[in-house]
Amino acid sequence: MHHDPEAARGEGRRYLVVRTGSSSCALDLTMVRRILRSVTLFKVPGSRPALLGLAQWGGEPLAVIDLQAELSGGRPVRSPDQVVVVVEIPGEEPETLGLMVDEALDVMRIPDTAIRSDPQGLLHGEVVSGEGVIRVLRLAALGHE
Amino acid sequence: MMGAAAWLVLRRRGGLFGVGTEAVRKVEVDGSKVLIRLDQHVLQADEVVSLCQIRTGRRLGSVGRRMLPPGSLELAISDHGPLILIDAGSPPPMLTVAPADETHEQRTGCPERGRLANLDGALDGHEEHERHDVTKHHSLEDGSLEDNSLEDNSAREDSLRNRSSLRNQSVSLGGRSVEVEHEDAVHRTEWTGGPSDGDSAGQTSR
Repeated sequence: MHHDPEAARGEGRRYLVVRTGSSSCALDLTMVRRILRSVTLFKVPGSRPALLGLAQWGGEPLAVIDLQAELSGGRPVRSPDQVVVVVEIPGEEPETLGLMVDEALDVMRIPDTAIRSDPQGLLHGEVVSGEGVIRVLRLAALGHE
Repeated sequence: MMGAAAWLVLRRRGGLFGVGTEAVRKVEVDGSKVLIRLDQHVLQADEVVSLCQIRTGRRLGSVGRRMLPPGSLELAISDHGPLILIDAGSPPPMLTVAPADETHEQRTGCPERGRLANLDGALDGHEEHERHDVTKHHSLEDGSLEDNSLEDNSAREDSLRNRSSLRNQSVSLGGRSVEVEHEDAVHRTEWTGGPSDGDSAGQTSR
């Protein structure tokens, strides 16, 4: 995960909590750049089903992925109020992507100790909050099979 | 960013793809489709959208490589929207034409042998000349001069010069073997395909 000084002090890392399908997911806030209400998508034939298409953001091309389809392995389900969370994934090849989600819910601080870690693919673990279970994602795993 | 400064922008099944013009050998219009002949592959497009210069592309990271069609190299922005710049040496399979789908004439630039035979009666006095040209053309396309009918070394050298010229400067269009300078070919291509509204391929998310 990205370096977060507050997390290093034990205060917990900050996450953007989004709703996708019936589940809530927490995205490391240090990777979130913007939330877009509306984007024009250009489809990409021959791509993975989870790739909704290409958009423009800040004069740059942006690949937009359906987060729910990526998590479930199913086909994307579109709804009119979806938003695109622009994230920048660090690493040797930093990559800016759009994640289509149903709703951006909240920003919350989650201590690492509260996360029941069970890394599986994109899923880092889960945390139980007053509103139910939140799935904590590790976006760096998006590039892995 | 790859070396090519100019890119031929193609539309295929609603997606936009760019191929470096330095890799394009020939563009043919075949009914409702456009065939773009590269050194080792033939691409099929629904239309050639434009020719454009792209100065900055965004190299794919691991997510892009996993999500986009194999053979995708970079993402870029064109006047018609975002597009995928492809590897001309290993293009996405959904863009390529399988060799079995090509006709003999598309592969070689020559009519099939039976079709030549049917033309015999119509050629009259031009028969020898036409046959010679066809043989020469065929040998140029194949890159082989071993079995052609050229008679002497000077003719062979001319042929080699012609081949070099074809490779480096000229493109033919429309399946009509119209040999033109490369830049002209690109402009003609743009005219033939006709620029289209990029938004027609797009959809707004809300």
